[in-house]
Amino acid sequence: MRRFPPRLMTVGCAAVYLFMYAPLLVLMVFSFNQAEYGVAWEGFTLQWYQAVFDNKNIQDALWISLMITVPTVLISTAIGTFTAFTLYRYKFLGRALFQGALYVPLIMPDLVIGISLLLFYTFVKLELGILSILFAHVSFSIPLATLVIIARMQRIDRTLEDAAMDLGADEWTTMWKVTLPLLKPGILAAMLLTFPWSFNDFMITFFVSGVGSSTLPLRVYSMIRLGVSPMVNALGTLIVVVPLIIVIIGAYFDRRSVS
Amino acid sequence: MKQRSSVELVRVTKRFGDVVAVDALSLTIREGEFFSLLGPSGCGKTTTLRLIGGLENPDEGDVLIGGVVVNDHPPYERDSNIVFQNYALFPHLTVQDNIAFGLRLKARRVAESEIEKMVGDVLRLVHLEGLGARHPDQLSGGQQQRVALARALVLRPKVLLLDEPLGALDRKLRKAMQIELRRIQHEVDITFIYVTHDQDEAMSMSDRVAVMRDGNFDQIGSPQEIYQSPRTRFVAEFMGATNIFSGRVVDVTTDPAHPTPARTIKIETESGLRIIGRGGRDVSSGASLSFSIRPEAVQLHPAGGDCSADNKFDGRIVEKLYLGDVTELQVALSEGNTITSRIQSRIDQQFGFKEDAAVVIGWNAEDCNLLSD
Repeated sequence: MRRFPPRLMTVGCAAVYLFMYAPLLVLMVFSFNQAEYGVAWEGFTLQWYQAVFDNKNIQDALWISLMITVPTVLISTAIGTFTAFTLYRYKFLGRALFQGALYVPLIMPDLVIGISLLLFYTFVKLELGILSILFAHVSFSIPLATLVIIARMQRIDRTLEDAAMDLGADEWTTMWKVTLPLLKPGILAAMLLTFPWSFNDFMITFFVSGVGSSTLPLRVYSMIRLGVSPMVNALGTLIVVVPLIIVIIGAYFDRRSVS
Repeated sequence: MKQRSSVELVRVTKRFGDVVAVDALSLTIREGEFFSLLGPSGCGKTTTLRLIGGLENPDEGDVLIGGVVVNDHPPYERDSNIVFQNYALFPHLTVQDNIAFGLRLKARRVAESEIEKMVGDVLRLVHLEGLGARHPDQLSGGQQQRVALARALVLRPKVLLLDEPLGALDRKLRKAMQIELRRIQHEVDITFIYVTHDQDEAMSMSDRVAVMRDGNFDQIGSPQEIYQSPRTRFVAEFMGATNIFSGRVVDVTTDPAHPTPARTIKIETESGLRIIGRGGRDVSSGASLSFSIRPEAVQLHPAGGDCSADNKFDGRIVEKLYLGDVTELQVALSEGNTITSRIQSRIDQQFGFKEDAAVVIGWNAEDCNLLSD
């Protein structure tokens, strides 16, 4: 058998990853650049990060983002847990339909979700603001949370629940003392995945936000409309790195739950 | 043995879709009995166990525990506990907490100090002292098996249901655990219902064995009864019988000198063998039936030797298998049938039987066990 040259594979791999990450690296590098305009390197500085932390608008936007994302994570994970439990545990008419319907929002264009939510809120006369964004985020985070938890649930041995009931635990006690503790890694993973899912959303939030309820991504967007300041590079770096760390922690917990 | 009934099934039927897993099954198990449900996989033995434990509900019929109909009682309201085939230990709890799981439930109202004592006692019973703080994945298969047993026993159920609990253990450990289980059962004096597909296991431990096929019993009886007088061809084959002869009845006589079994029956097999057996069943000439003959009932003599058995045939040894204290010999008859004889190795050595040697084999009519299909 002819062997594939290892060097070719190394080079190929490097090219792919460079292609994926080069733009991000450029952004990160220039967040430390002293030059205010242009792409020439003029020396290292942390002043743009300082500017981010001093900027009142950004702080307000971050606060609004967290006020939406944190409740979104808690609510969507709680609903996701019960949805997963119902879909996985009980047989009922149309279960397959419900389970399939869970995937649809994940592949639906954000544009369509955003427009439909805006239309819906106008229809039910809900004022656009933090609450409208929160509802939107919860609704698009539920499918993700549910799928992550169903995946974990499929790995739980059903006879453990049989055993709990056989030992005298009724359905509720079995759920509290056996099912939920075993689901814990999945629930944690769902929380850590819905966090950036909600925090990073731009498109849907763009449609359902009102005056004075700009989240961080919306704020960044309005900032770059006035020209790209290196401060945006610094903020962009932070927005990428912080959720990335969260996802890595989430993946770690999810993987640990397998073994 | 006490004679009160511990578990009773009255014409219990359970279906899964179109499949009838348990078919109008009736059974009474006595208090303190070690009762085995024996059968191949898919015969409904585990479903029967789950019906008693309440993890399945019968479609028809009644399940009684301690004389009370429990059809609609969920598992957590039944005085029975299961030792699961895969042990089903809670991976997120220690051994101690696994065993205390049932005791700690509110409905039982056991004080924590009492729980500690009970867990300690049961750990001693199953020889797991000092392992209470471990998690199940830090235990060997045999130890996990004992934890599962302890977790069920600590609740002192009326009935303990064991679903192939030794299936995952290696042969040596299985033998040791069989003895262990018997000891524990005597010690706690609880009814054990034991599901297994291993006939040796069922034979060595049980007071009574029920052989299951297609959701019902072919035969219920003591290990001796089942081994020595299998009622059906299925039971005979499942118990490892190899000598089964089917044929048409050519002659039936009633002999007043032999009151039981009352009839002497002569059959002729397709290959032309004429076999004389005895049976209590009323059969008429021309009917087809089968006899099973246990290998140890088949005597073996050198060619031309003196054989006084009711059935005797010339044959040739085709295979010899040394099994330690006994030796098993396959003998081909001139009619084409093969018959297995099991003799003491001592006797085999005395006669010096060799493969391909001509021999005379024989067995008595009383050793022919009449089978129904």
